[in-house]
Amino acid sequence: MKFDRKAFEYFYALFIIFLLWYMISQIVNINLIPSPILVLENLSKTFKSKIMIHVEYSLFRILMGILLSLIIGVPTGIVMGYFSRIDKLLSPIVYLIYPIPKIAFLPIVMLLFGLGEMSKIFTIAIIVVFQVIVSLRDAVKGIPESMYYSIYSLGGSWFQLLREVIIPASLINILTSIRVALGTAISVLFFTETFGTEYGIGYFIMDSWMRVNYLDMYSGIIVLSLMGIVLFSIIDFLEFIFCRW
Amino acid sequence: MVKVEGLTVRYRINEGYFTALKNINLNVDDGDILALVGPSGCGKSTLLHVLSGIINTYEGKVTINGEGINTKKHRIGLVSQDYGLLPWKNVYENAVLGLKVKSRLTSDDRDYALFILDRLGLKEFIRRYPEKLSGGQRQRVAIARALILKPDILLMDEPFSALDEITREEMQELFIEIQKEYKVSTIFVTHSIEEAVYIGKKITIMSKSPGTIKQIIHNETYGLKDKRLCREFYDLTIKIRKDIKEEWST
Repeated sequence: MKFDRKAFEYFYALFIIFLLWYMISQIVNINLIPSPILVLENLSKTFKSKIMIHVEYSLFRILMGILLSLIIGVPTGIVMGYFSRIDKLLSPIVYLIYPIPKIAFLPIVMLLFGLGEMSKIFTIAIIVVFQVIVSLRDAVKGIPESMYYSIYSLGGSWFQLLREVIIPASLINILTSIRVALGTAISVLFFTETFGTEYGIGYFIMDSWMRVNYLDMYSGIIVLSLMGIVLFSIIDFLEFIFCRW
Repeated sequence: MVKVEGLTVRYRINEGYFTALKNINLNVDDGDILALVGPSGCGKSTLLHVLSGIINTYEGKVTINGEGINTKKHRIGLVSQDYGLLPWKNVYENAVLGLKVKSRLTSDDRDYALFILDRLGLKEFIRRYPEKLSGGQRQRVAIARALILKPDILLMDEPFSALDEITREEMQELFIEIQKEYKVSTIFVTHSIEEAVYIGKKITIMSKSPGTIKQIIHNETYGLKDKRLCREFYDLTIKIRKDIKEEWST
């Protein structure tokens, strides 16, 4: 039921955007802004043959990048949130590195990891991981002490505390941090795909632009935004499944 | 049997120490209820935290059945004012949490859990989440969880103080019934003199901070039926009230 409504909301948003786009394209009437109808037509014709492969590459990079940042960020955030001594030790380092635009490290990352997949995935991960760490740490810090008491008095182990209290209590924040991270990851992805590769939706958009093929370019942009919607919906769905309470 | 001898607890505050409890001596015989009454901030909760293994640094000796407190070995049922339920677990999952942390659940455990939940009138709610329960129902879940554990000692930290009056009286009656049935050694902390007289077999009165024990009273009204309709209940309440009026007020 909730998801029917979501679908309707997306449909409504698409309708408004396409309507505005259509009106602008009719008013300015230049090649640079083609009518959305032509773009959709182009998209339906070329998606399978031309665009699909780029989507696969991009999705793989995003998912691996987020996965890597979760593998590093979730344990770090939890440990920092629970043990205040470790937090005192690590927080200054995190705060110092967090605001640096890590995209500036892209040349170095490329030197270290080469031009292949690893450098793209790594770039996404080093940007996203800080959001994950900080939101996890704050989530764990926010768990009221009394929630731990029942496990303490039962003689539970640290692992049981983690499984019964800390992870479920911060699960919703893990999902929120992925949601925030996702937006960042997609924009970083676009940037990393503009060089050193011939695959990826970012490459496809830039390449179409260079070739002055605006229909392809806009098709690519639509696909990029649809990828975003699909990924966000997956997270909403996970939240629906795991955070029923 | 639970024995507390010469218990003193100090907290570290900035440079110095704050004494929360000073030289506490008490014991709870098997199957008895000790009601512990004292003004707020007198260290009642601190005492329960020591007994439940949450606070480990103290002076003095605290034993359960002759052994120092060991949360892994002893079964300690803790029921707190905010119920201590985990919001992401439904009633059944919350109720068996204690057993689950202790060991793998057997089918006997599950049957016993359902039996106790039923006894506390929670059978129809077992799939509900705490969010969807009333205060009285949540507190029954917390008590069920403690009982299902078959505890060596039951520690109740102002368990009914967040409930409305009618629910509170119902819960007090239900608790007394259940306690008689299962004979769990209980320490029942409250700030209400009436509640202490209503529930306790022994009533321990604490002083203001730093908490010391002022008086231990053997409650002669223990076990009376329809206590709230008996003169003895009110007489004892008034007597205690007079005794401590000066002590607590300033």
